Amino acid sequence: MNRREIFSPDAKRRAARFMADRGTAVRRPNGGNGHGRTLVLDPKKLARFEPARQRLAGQLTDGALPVRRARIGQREILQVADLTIHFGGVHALEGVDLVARTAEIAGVIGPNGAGKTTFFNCLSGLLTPDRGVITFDGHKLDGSPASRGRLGLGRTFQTPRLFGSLSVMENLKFGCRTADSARREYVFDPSLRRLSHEERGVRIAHMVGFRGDLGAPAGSLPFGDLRTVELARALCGAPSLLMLDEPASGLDVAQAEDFVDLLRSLSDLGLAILLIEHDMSLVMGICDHITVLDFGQVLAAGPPSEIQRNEAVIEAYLGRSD
Amino acid sequence: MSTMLEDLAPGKVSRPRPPKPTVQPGDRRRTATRTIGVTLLIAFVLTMPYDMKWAGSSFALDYGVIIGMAVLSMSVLGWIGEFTLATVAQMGFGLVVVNLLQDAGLPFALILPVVILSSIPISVLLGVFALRLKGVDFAIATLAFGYTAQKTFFQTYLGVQGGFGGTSSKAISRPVGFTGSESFYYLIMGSLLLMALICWAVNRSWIGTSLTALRESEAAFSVLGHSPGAYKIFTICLSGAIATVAGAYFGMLQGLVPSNYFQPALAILYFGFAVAGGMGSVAGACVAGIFFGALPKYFDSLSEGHFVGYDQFFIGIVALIVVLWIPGGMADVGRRLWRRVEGGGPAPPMVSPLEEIDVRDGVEGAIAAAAGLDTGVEA
Amino acid sequence: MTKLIQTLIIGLEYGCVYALIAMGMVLVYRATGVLNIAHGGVGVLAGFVAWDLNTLRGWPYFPAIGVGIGVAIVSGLLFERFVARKVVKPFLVTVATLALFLLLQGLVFVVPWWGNTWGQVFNSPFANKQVAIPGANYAVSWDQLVLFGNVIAFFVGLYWVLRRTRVGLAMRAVSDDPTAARLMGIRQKVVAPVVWGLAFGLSGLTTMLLAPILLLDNTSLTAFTLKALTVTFVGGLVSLPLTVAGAMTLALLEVSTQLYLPSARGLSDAWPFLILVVVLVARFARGTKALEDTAVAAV
Repeated sequence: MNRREIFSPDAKRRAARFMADRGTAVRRPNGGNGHGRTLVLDPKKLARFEPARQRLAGQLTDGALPVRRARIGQREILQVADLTIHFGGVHALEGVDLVARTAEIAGVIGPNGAGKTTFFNCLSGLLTPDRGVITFDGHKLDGSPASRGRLGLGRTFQTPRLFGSLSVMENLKFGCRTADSARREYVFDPSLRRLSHEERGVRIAHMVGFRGDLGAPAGSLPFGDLRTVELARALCGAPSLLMLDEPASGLDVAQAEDFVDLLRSLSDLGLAILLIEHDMSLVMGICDHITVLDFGQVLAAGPPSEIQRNEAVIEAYLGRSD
Repeated sequence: MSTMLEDLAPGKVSRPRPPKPTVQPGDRRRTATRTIGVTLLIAFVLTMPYDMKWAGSSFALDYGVIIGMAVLSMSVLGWIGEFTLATVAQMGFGLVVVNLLQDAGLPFALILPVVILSSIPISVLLGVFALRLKGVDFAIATLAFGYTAQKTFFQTYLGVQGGFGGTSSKAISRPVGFTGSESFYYLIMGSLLLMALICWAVNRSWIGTSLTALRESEAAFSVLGHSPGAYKIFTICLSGAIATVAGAYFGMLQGLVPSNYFQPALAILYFGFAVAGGMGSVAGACVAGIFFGALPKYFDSLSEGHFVGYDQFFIGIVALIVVLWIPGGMADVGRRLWRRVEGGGPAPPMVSPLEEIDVRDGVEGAIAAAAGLDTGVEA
Repeated sequence: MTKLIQTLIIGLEYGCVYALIAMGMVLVYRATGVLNIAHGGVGVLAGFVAWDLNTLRGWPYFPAIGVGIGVAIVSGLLFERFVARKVVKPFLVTVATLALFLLLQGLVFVVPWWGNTWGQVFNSPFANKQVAIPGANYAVSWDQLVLFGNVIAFFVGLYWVLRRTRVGLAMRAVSDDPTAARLMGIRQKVVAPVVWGLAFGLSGLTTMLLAPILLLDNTSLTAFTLKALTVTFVGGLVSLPLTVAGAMTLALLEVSTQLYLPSARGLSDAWPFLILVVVLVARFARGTKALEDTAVAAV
């Protein structure tokens, strides 16, 4: 039989979907896919197929076939226990606990002033909490923001903070330099490590959907692009946990949809994502786990379905009509 | 099979090819202007002591060049968005160190490196302040440092009458071969040009890019995994080294220095020069320092002593004009003029480091930030 | 006993000077976010104008100082109208005050009939009148009493204005957020001139109070400005009571060191820096929290 004919279009499609679903999975425990078979995939060989895999994953999420979320190797990457910070009489955060896992999108929501950005600032190291323990990837997190960045904590800001007078590419290269000096692997695309900074920047910019001129000064970009580039810059730093502060605010519907797709793909590829957002439909649709803050305290935590039904949350957000 | 492999093989990422450089119509004129301009400048710099003889002795020019170094030292801090008023104190330390080394009989070739090394501890001390304080708070701290150094160390060391620690010390002497005013000029001008070159090279390198990023957003910079502290201390050490060497040369220029010379108010004056030249600009700092440093001396000799104190008034007015209308200082003016001469288009507006410093980086800023408010939005 | 009283009186006197200058700076800072380095210099201008009128042209004392203070107030209004309003960013205005400082320092020399001399004697009508302190071999001059009284009056007045009156509230609102304040109906164009005029007028008043006690010259006021800057730092540039307390502490420390430990020559002059270090260490000890925040605020 001609070898060519073995690979019928159907078989190819199945193979492609298989590759897309498995992501960078290496080994399956026995009986992993429900048929009692063990599947072993060589990571080096898989890495070669990454770009194609990404393209396929992008095509497949285009409404036609639902993508099964890869939950391989999911582990807790961030544990926050009893995080407390006071500013004079203001209890910005009070005993906040949170857990973030790889390949999971965790949302942090709450009314304005609930302490969400303060929470992120504490995680980043820009603020020092009065009490509480943060453990990241097995390390206790108590160093400077720079050291936390090198450990793999990526972050974007509520208002994009790009280096305006530098070009987009130069902005991205800052992240690449950290990834190299900290010898970090790109969770979502291990092959990036071997590329030069320039190529990495181009790839990641392409991945996040930035179509503009990489040589243009970052300060000259339109607002939607600012967020995209900031995200790309954070990704260039090879984070294992990405903290996004209101990333979808100011984006129009189409941009928001693209953004959701991007986040899902990144999460599928193993990146842990922590998200502050006000857009409820986005949050409920994309997050696997939601923590609700109000006045600095955790009001509720759980999967979206639970949160939507939680009385206390409804009251805090919408108020009661009595 | 081949199609599947093609599908699954690593794809080529298409990059826009850079456009081939075409010869623009204005290019020849630009190159010609640049060559002529640079040649004229070099010629002028090489012969300045003789060109300026009509206005006064070369001493004024020497003085101006040293002030140029001091102003360069201050302007460099504009790279991290800070300003210092401790430059004058650091000059004083340079003076003291060179005196000690000459007393110990060290040859000139060794003196300068030792002077530079000796500046590092003080720079590191100031650097520690820079890590915790920002903007005006940092400037006040440097001012207090300068003031204390002047009142305690210098006054004690330099003695009440002036000179150095009493009659047993010698005056600071110039190195062999550079004892005349003109020859000394070439020594210090060469040093200034070397310093300017080093600063310019640093600015153009990845260090300069990092400093720009640091200035624009320290939070984003640190969160990306780069340490702002290291860059700040580096810049302060660079600034300190320049200032200390300037002080050493100042000692050689004057021979004896009165103990009350290094007033903090002098630092404020030099800061005015730095503003006029354009904070953060290497060329602007040098030009402004030389110009405003030499000017009062020339004024004195031309007017035979009638115009004492006019220089402060004059520089005050210039600095005010700069702040009101030309925040980029002389450097910005020079840049725009040069572009016009070259025939290029209008220059892009330069954001002066001055405009990026926020004076509220103190307790209030801290509280606002802590409340989670984004203080990046300005009225 | 005499020495103690002497220490206290002189210490209070200098403390008052530092406090007045520092309060003027804090006022401007609270209301505009600008650090007015020219504060001392404006006073010198006012002082020389008054001296000119009084000593050179024979005007009576109080009208002369009235005009002097008036000149100071007008220059504050002019500065606000033509500089502060044009250059909106607080830091640039601070640099402008620095330029103004240099200008004023030089102005004393530029005006030909004020002479190239360094200091002038400018006596008030209270010169040579004293109040003896019972039980001690020392007397307080009326000038000093006037100084003390004015400082207290000013401190109380300023505190009350900032805290209790609508104008003061408006000033604080404008300093916190000019845009929001404008939206609330507070007119920056009215508040700002009041602030600057008041601050510069205060500077003029300071010089008038000081000149009878010390010489009227420009360099000593510079030294005072520098020390006052350190003192403002103690109060964090926001707290009036702490600023005044800091001023008095610094002055008392300086004077007591000078009188009781004359051999430790440098110590009395080192106090500004030492106090600065203590304040910084206290802020460190409270936790790097407040200081690290500036990393976020600075962007």
